[in-house]
Amino acid sequence: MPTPAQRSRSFRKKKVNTPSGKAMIHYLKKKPGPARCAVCKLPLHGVPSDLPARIRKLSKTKKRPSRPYGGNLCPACTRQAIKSKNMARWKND
Amino acid sequence: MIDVGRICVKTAGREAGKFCVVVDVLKDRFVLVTGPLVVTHVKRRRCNIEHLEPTPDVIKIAKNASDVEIINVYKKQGIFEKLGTKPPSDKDMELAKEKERKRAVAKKGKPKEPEARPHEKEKAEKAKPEAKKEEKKEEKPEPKKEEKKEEPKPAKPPEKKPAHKKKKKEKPKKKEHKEKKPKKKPEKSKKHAKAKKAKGKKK
Repeated sequence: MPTPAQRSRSFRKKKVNTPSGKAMIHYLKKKPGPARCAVCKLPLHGVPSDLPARIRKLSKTKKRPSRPYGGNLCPACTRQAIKSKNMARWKND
Repeated sequence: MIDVGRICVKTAGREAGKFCVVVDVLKDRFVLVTGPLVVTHVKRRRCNIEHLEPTPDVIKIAKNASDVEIINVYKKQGIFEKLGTKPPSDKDMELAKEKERKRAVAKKGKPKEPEARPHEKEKAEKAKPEAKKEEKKEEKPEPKKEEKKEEPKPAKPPEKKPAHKKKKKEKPKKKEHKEKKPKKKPEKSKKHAKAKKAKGKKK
């Protein structure tokens, strides 16, 4: 029997044959869902979806695209944001 | 709308949200653009028109104007204040000048290369065999000299020479082995001959 903490169906189960010949079940935690754009809710490219402990080990360049609003907005929404910012800037002048 | 001298905002890539000037109009909706790098951190590069957002500001510059020229125009028209940036320091200006020099050298070098290539190849082909022959000539007399030197002065050999001596010693040993083997073979043949003779006698 698994330990009471592992007796939940939300774990992903993986069968593993150990070197001694036993067949064991490994209980794996679920990965979080993909990062999404804050405006249009589309999944973002270039942003890894993994356990936070693993993502912490990655370098900064592997965590998000090196663009303003990278990892926060999708490219189409960044373009709109920059355009609207630009328009407002020149209207004030 | 997008012509030489138009100030734009880049909307794609890592330079998104930064200002730049159009320097040249190229084919197929492409345009040459600079910040300059020292001022707004936008490299002099080709750019798609769809990735640019024009602003109402235009400066008067010649086609393919250099970064230093553009900076001087910025100073005259007071565009640094509009863009919200500071004029570049003396160090940055020196950097910009150096890059221009390198660019000029690269441009001068490019057109010459394709014309000179066939001639260069012929020269290189001619030069290579001559060099090889010279090397061979130099190599051949050297070992002879070494052998002559070794014979009269065996007492004080330099560090490299013992390797040559060892190789020479090994070679004659192999020859001895070869000489021994053929001596054994006739013995066997004699034994066979004796055996044959014995068989013949039995018969």
